[in-house]
Amino acid sequence: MARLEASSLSYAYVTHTNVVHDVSLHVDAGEILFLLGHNGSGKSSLLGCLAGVLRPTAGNVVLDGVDLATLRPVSRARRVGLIPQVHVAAFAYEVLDVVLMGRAPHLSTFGTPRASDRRIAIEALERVGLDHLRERHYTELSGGERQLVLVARGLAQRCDVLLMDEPDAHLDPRNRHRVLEAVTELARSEGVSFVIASHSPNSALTFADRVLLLRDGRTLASGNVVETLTAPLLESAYDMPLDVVSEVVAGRRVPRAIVARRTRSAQPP
Amino acid sequence: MSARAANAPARGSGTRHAWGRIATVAALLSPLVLGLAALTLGLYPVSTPNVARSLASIAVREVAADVPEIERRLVLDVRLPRVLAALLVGAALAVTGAVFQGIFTNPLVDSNLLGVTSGAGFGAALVLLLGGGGVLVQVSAFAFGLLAVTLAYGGSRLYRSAPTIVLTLMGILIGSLFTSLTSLLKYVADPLDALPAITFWLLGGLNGVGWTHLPLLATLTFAGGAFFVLLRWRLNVLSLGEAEATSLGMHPKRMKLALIAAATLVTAIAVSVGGVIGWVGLVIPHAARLLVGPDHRRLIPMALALGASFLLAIDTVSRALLPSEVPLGVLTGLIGVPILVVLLRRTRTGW
Repeated sequence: MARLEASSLSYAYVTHTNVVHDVSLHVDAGEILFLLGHNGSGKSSLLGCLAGVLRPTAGNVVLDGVDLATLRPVSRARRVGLIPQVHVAAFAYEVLDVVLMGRAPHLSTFGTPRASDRRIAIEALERVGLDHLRERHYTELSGGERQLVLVARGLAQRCDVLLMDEPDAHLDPRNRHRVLEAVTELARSEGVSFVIASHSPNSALTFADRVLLLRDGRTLASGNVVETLTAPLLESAYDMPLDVVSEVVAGRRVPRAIVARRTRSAQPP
Repeated sequence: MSARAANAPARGSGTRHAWGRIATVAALLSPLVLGLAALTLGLYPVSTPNVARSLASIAVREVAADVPEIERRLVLDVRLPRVLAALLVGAALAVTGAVFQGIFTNPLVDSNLLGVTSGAGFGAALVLLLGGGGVLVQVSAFAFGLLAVTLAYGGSRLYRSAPTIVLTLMGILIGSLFTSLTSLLKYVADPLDALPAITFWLLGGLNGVGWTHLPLLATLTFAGGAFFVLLRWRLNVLSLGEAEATSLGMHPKRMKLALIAAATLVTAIAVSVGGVIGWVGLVIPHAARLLVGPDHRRLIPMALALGASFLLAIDTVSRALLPSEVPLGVLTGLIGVPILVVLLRRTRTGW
């Protein structure tokens, strides 16, 4: 298992305007790091740089002391995986075939998946609890199930570091919980590191070990969840008024980010 | 999970797979069966035993001792090259259509997406206008087909990043450019001589195909087909789009370029022999997907087989059953469009 470290990363789609500016982060084996920030704050671009899909304009990404840019794509993909946002595929592949694609970096160019790859893919589907859907068509699944299939594909890739782009977007509370429970379980039992871009401070408050707050492509704050996700910092990150309250859930104090309820009577006259 | 729950879908899929397998094997063998059947059909019918003995006489001359010489020559020198050309051209157009749909992540494109057919049409028209014919038409069609795709690909490289959409747009632009140029040639062509020749070529057809056309067609189609079969699983990964293929450790740009180059060579040679035969590259991949699903591991071999059978069947109908030959490009449209309408209705959403 591995430690992923990024130092002074910058990224620009067109020259002169950085969407990621001088961001440094690290994630250790078995750790879950959440990236939070407003739309367009650079979360996805940052993930792309960490995954080696985008080439940073400055800075570098180091995996266990090896610069990611020096690795061949195939070697890189065996260690770092990117689970994209839920999408609609153009073709109605069977669920198991989608998961099998996670084996791509482990197969030769002209190779096709073997029985051992199939076993790994089925095991990955079992882990996310979707084994019963393996012959269904990916396009027929609900958004939550599709996200879980993509998580299973990431698992079948057998990486040390998994990067997830908004796995909790489009998901109902139950499926969001399923995805993030599966993530926690993998981090704890297998030592897989996770970097998760999210729009939900509350998911971070529940599931993250550490958090990085982005604003306009720059680091606003980073570190321990409870110390970083405070009301002033969140207000600054999202540019809106909100509160962080403490709730007692199952005997534990859990912080929650909330916005004051707006009812007719609460509106100013 | 309980044992019963684990077994139930496996049993259900067992019967489904059994039927699917029979249909698949039948479809894969159909080019061979239809090929033999097509040799017996024509204005001058030849009996099946005589066809078989004529074919065997290639190896052992004496087998066809009591077959009339005219039948033997008809089968070996006229029908066999035409049947083989129909099989090869059909397989070439269908498989390149399937490959293009996969790498452009779009089930509604075919191998003409980057303008290869329009370029080839212009190449052929140019030689016909200048009074040339025969092999020269084929060479020019082939060369201009390659030129059109090279222009489209090169044009898309002018942009800093060359995403799929820019390449698609360039293909459409270059295709229209060559179509306009072809129209210009037709406008200035001699209406009594060159114009009918050009029009006839553009409608597509295999009459006049002989053994001289086959070596290059067979070599490129077999080599390209083998390349696509080898990369059949990678096509699945490529169809996820460039970003995901990259994150899965591939060089999508490099592999796409290799596939586009191979598909262009195969399409260009097919068009240079058969003229403009539309719809095969769009309809057959959909039919193949209906039979074996979208997984390219099964789709590519199926597209090769169905494409070969489809074009052979249409060419044989045109050659043997209709009172006079109807151009292939017209027939594939007349038959292909209704088939596509039915297929699009029956195929699952999202393909």
